[in-house]
Amino acid sequence: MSDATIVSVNNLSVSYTSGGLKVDVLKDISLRLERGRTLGLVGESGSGKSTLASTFLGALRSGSFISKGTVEVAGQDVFALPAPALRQLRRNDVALVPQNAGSALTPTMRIMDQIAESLHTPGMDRAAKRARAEELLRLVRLPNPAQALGKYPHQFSGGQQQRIGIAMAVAANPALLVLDEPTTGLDVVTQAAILDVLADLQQTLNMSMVLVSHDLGVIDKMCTDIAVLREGRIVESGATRRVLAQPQHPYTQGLVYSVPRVDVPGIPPSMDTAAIDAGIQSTGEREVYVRTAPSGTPPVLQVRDLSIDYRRRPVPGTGPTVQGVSFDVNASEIVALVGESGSGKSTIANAIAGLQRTEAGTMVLAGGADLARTVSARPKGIRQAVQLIFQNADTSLNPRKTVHAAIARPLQLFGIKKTTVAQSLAEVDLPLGFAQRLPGQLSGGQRQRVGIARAIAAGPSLVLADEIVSALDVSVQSSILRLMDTMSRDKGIGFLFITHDLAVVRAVADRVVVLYLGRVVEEGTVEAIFSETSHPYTRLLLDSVIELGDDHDAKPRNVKDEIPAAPPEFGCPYASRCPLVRDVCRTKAPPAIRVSEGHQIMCHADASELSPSTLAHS
Amino acid sequence: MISLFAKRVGWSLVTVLLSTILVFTAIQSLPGDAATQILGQNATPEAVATLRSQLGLDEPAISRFFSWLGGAFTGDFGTSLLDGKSVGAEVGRALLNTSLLAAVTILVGITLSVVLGLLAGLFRDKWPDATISTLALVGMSVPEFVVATVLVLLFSIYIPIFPAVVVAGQDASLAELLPSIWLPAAALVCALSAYIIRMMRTSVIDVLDSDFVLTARLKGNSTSRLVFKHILPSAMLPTLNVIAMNIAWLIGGVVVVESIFNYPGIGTLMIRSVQTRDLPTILMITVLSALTYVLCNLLADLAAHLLNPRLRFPRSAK
Repeated sequence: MSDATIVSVNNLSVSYTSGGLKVDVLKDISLRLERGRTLGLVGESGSGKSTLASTFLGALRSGSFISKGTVEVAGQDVFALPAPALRQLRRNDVALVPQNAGSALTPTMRIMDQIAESLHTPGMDRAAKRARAEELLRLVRLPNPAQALGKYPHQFSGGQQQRIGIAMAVAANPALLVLDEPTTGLDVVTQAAILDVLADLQQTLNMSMVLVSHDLGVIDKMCTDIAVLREGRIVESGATRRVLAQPQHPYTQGLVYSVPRVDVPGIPPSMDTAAIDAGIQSTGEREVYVRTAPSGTPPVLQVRDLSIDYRRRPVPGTGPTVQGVSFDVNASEIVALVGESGSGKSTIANAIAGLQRTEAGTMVLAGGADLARTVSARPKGIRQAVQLIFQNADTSLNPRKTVHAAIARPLQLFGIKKTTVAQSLAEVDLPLGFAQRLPGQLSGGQRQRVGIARAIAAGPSLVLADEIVSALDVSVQSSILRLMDTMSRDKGIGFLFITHDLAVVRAVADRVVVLYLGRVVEEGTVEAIFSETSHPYTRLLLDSVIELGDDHDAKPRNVKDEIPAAPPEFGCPYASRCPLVRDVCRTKAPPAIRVSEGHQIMCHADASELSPSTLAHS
Repeated sequence: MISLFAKRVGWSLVTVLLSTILVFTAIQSLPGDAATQILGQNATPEAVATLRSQLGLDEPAISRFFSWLGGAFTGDFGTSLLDGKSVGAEVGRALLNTSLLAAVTILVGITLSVVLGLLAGLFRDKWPDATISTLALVGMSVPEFVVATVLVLLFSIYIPIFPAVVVAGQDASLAELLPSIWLPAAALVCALSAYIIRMMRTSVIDVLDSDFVLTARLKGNSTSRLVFKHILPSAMLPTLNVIAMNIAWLIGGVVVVESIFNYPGIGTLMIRSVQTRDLPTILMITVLSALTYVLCNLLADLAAHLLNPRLRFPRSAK
């Protein structure tokens, strides 16, 4: 191995034994990474990409073992090292940025102590360590680094925790930084900011990086090299741009084609696993299904001037959590409620579901049924009319109840005779035999189908779908989106689809409501929202999306991603971040600009100012 | 946080008051009273009546309770119905003896069980864990009077290094007591450790599975730093309440062990007082045990605050 190589994996197989059988997690992996370059490991859940990345740190999940091959990092055979030498390697040469810094930082230790642990320069006293730690936090652009040192992890937001995790990892100037899904679970704007930090750090510190991600856009932006994993094997590897632009292996093709795009309407094709197993090349065409929005259907839900307040008593300078939110969901329509975490989208969904008390405003179903009361005080008919589908089907289904029991429950509860469990399963394309299975015996996509079947079986007029595809692999995302499309058209169900993923919104939604700090900032048809004229906040969201094949260097860099903790008492909620801000924005609530029929933007600026060029967040 | 503790102290006082009312009513509803107990079965009704009025037992129960309560607030817990001595002094002496026993038990027991639980968790499913867990299970399932008897058999009879019982009685001095506290302390440690060990083991295993321990390990930390800085504080948190409950049980519930060793502590005194229906003594012991329970739980909460920054620094709105 030459000095220029930082990682070299040779015929590596990792296995574990289950019930006397040897199961391979990784099979015959060989790869090489030159110093200063970035390798992206791509694949779906269960592909072994995280397992492979953790071998670079000499770590295996307990029970797993190396059945063949070697891993060399910085010239050392990692799994042949004695414990003290492995510790040295982890201290000096390789560092990990974990997926969820919130749970990866020790809750009982101050930030200062956690960073200082990684500073090993001999003769460094506490003052020097403090100075260095502060410098590191400045490097990852954490606000108030000096103050942050004395705080504990839980006192920071998710994005800030991730920055601290990165600072901790680069503290020892490692030659190799391993990042396991470093921005999954973060909002688009925060994700863009964190990736900028990482790119800058790589330049400054001259590191090599290995980036594990399921997000092809992120890989495309960050990585020079790519390895695509499927079921523990590398199916394709090479230069990122080339592999992703002209994928050769059917699996890579399937992955690339099944990703929904912000700039292309319609639901992408599902991955054809059978064809991939048979090695059949894709035709090279990406056939999207474009949904037609229903027209002239009556509303199933009307929300008017909804306000929700979490505060026990008014705090000067801040307003209620959700204020003045109005929108409709029509029969057969899919309305997307979009915004970053903290934008109040789940709060609003909870209020409609009757899980959250409202302060003011009305929520009315078709036929005039009032949703003012919480769920325990609602009559059966209303509870039947409003159904929920959750983000994580694996935690929302009772693990000890069969699929049959889960679907039969609403049928019994609401006395529905004309639908059977068998019909419900057929509607979500699950074989009848699944009725006797337990949720643990299903895949993620199948569980989500059961979640949909359960909600639809009740015969609702409105379904609240909270991030129902964000926990799924892209290959199954499309089929779930198609299912939502079918249900809305065939049964006239109105869907309120809550999500932060704009590409998915583009794929499936008819209309979009954009929320910021609990206020609607823009509302319109899906084409209108993705058009040239946007609210400055929508523009920021759109610009922050990282997509496959974008010109990543042309994107705005180092955007401020700090969201205020509470909405302001007066004026526009976005005033503190807006590039067009003027005095009136801080005192008066913005008026609605009617850009076109059914497209309105809440802003004090002139419609002509709301174009991409004037809104460039530089 | 201060207002939170003020609230907790307030509720604690209510708890203590309620428990005294409960015990007072319970004793009242038992057949017989101090007068019949002192005079025995063959006493004439007249003699019993005379003694009753001497002892003040002929007054209505409610007024007796309130006059006792008034005294208790000023520190006067009344006089024993049995021998007319001050209850405060008698219970105080017994409490001191029990506290000595408890202090030794707590010091040895808590340290030992936290360490053993930690080891069992760290060496999960290996021989140290198997040994410790089995011993803990045995300690849990064997009643303490059996443990006490076995200890006496081993260390007073086969190898006579410790006295089997305390001969000195109520007024024993420290020097007289000291040699004889080891066997009762050992019996108590056995009973007390089992639960703490098991709790500690479970919580160490939970913490070991967490992302932050993996991250700390992958930072190249030494094992000792990993254990003391990253694992121990988080693992102690759920164990604190179990420790508090066990300490409280220790002060209130040493009855069996004390009476086996004839140790002149609270437990022995309590048995005697219940037998003689000596209400003032029982009430004071009740107040003391209730106070101990409440105090131990308060201390556990306080320790949790010290160990858990999430309680000390609630996430501010920036």
